Amino acid sequence: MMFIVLSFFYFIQMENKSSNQKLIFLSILLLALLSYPLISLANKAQLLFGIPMLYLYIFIVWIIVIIILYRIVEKKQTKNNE
Amino acid sequence: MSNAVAILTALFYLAILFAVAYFAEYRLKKGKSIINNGYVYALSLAVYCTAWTYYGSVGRASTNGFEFLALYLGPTISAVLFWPVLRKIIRICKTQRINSIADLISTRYGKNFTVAIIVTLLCVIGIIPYIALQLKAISTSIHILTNTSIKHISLSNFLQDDTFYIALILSVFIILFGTRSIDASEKHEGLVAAIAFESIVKLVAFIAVGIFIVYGIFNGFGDIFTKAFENDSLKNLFQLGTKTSYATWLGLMMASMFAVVFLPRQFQVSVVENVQEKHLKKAAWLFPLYLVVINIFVLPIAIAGKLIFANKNIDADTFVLALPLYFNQIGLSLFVFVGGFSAATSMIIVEAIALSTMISNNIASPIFLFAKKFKPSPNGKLSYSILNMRRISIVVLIALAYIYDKTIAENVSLVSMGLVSFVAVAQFAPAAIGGIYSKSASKNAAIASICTGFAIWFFTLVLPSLVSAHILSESLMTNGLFGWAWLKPFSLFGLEGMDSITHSFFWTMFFNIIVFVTVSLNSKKTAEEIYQGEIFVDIFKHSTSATENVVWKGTAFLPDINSLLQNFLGEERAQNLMVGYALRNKISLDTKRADPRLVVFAENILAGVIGSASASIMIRSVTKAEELKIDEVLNILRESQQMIELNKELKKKSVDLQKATQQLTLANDLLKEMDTMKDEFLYTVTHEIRTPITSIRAMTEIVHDNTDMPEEQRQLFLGNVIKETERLSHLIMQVLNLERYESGQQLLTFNEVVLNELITDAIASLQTLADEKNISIKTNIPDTMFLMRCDAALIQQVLNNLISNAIKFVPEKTGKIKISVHTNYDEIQVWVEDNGPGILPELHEIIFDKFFQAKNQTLKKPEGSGLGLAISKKIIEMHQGKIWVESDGVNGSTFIFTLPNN
Repeated sequence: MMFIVLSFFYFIQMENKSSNQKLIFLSILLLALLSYPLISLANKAQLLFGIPMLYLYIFIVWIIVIIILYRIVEKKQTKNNE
Repeated sequence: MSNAVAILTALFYLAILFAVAYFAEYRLKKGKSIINNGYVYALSLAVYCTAWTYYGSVGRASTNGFEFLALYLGPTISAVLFWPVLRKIIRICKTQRINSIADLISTRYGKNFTVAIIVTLLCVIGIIPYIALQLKAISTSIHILTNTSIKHISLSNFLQDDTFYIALILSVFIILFGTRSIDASEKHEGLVAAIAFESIVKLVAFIAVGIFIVYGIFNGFGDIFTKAFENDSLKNLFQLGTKTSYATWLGLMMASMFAVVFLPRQFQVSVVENVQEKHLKKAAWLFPLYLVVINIFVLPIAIAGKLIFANKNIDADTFVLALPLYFNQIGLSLFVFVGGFSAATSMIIVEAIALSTMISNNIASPIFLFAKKFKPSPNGKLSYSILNMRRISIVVLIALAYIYDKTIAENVSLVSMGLVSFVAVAQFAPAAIGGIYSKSASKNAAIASICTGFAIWFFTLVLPSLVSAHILSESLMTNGLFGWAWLKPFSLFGLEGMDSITHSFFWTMFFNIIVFVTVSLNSKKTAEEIYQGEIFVDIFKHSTSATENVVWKGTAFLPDINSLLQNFLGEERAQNLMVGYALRNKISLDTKRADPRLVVFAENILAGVIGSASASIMIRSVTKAEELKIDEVLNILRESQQMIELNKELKKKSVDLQKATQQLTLANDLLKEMDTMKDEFLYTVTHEIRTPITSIRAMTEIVHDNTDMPEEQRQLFLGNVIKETERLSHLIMQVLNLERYESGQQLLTFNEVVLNELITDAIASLQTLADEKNISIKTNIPDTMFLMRCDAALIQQVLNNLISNAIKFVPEKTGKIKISVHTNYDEIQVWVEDNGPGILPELHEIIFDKFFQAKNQTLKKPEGSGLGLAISKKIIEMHQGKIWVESDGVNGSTFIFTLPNN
């Protein structure tokens, strides 16, 4: 599961698109990852490394999105669609 | 802990806030702004995290598990869209001097007053409970800290209530730092600095208590979670779908997505107080990061509270403070109290400023201005009146919140109060987002959609709270309005199975969007609406010209405009602005009639002070504007659009011109090169022709002069003359051929030929020549027939050239020539091998040049024109083939040409 998620994020960075398009795609992806049915995949009453699985899933997705966001918006030359 | 300590701490903290705000304004005066950077901007956005986050999240987590996270994930999704979407809103607000969410929506729909008033009212009604919640959090936290029971102080005894005094001091702070300048679109430097400071305090305090509980009392996250998993009643907190349905989860996420942009306080810090657009980039990742950090400890603290206070009756909303107190951490408890206090105060401060601007601009000012029958009096008194109106609004707002807290809120569960506000402001989303992305959105649609949403929100969320406050009868909830079962507030139209917030969010948004779209598609728009729609949707095209476009026609007199501005800004400032603008745009201020541009400029300035709807009416009151027709508006827009396009085209043309010049230079160079090549060619041709002519002339002269020459000798000479003329005509033929191929005049006449036959024919025609030198010619051709399309005569000529060359260069008697054919997937190769002297590798390219032999006189001069290989190359190239030579310069050479196999 996590692997699929990570590979999605990888594709966002690979895409040779303007940052606006990337950001819109990222927001849709994030909404999908956090909604039913995708989130139900991690929705199990289990501990993983002592942490509840859903808790781990949400925070990892959250942090990865922030890292990608950082990389997209803080690029030296952000393409302005003006 | 005594009450006095708590109160003193709070007062001391407020004093620090004053100091921070003063410091920021002091720095600004010295020209070193501390808020002009992305970090402070991002921190100021964290005003999103109120006391409700600080205390309420833990309470929510202890009963509903993960649910609270939706309220922070939604804003993260919004933060991803900050750069594409919020930047557009910021740009619009800056060019139009918009200073509140009500102003944004009313300006979009033709600076319409009705829209402004509706939005303002919805904000005030929706947000006051939220402010009350903060006051309640402050008083509750003081009680927990001082370990006094929460005693009910009725409204009439407010003088004995600590919260009253705190509200009072907050009002003073807000008035001091929030209503300094008459221009509401100017930044509140000190205030933003204070808010950013508060964001740091609440974060550090929350993390401190989190670390204390997770690592001080327990052994890290794993320990807490493992213990919780052993407890059956806590186990189901770790899953969605047990306490929180997926629908609720999604609903909360969407509602908070809108809230983080459209809550008045969020709009204030993110749009109005934005100094530079680029700060959004920092905020886009820093703000979500802040949310992650402040949320990491929420669930562990909730579990810790549940485990430790398992048998005690302690409200989960107070766990954050109750836990450190339980373990006698007085210092930490006090710090946590300050953190919660900062979360509450930051929300109250910003919300009060945002709402007071809206109230004064959209409700109080118009009433005041029109009740007094506005008369110009150039003393700037009006600016004080407007500032005072804002000050009064602030006091009234906080008083209302205080009263709400003491009356209705006493009986209502506070948990969902914040969410009620979220659903309220989400009602602006269709009109606002539709307005900035679609030109067909109309004023009527905006009014209708917001009113619809407002009504359903009021019915599904506000009425129930009035019922639980015993203001309305219980029968409304059980039997529905007028006793109609399908009008029950918590299950409208019989929709069951959702919690009240998701239920309300769904129905309000559903009808809101449907009404917005249908009315938009079926309503006529006024000229002003169309103009604003154009500007809003294409703001990035218009942002430079929007303020210069003059969509105004009529008569106005300069003194009127001047005195109007002076009323609001004071004489000096008004004068400075007008003169400055006139100078920049080369407008004369001497005439009595005002230039239309000045009128529009004045309106824009006024919009920053009293909101665009009021400003538009004020300007209309002192001028005689003519109604603009829709096509006139469109023309103005089109013209400015055309100017931009023209500009672009000019730029493009100049680039094109540059390209053309470059191409010309290149072509010129090529021509020069070809010119020298032609000279060279002519020189070599004449040279080649002169040689045979000289010998012909010499020999004919001999025959002519010596009439008594013996017969055989004469025959010999004449025979040589014939040979030389043959050579000459051959040479001229070849030059003509080459010329034909090169100029492209020679058209290929394709026919199906068998390559084997071509080769055999070529050998046969040269066999005598080979026999003279006693040379053997061998062939190695596969049996298959190579049927191919080519110009047989020309290929024959190539073969002749190559074979006769080989015959020329191989030694007598031992000479060997071998012709072979090799096929490849897509081409046929013909090899002509010989055992002659070979060709040095550096010559491999240039032997195909014209008159190569002539230019290299060092080589032994063989017979031939020197054009054979050049012609062969040309022919092969015309057939889309290649020709080259392979040789090491010692042991013979191999000429190879290819033809496409089709």
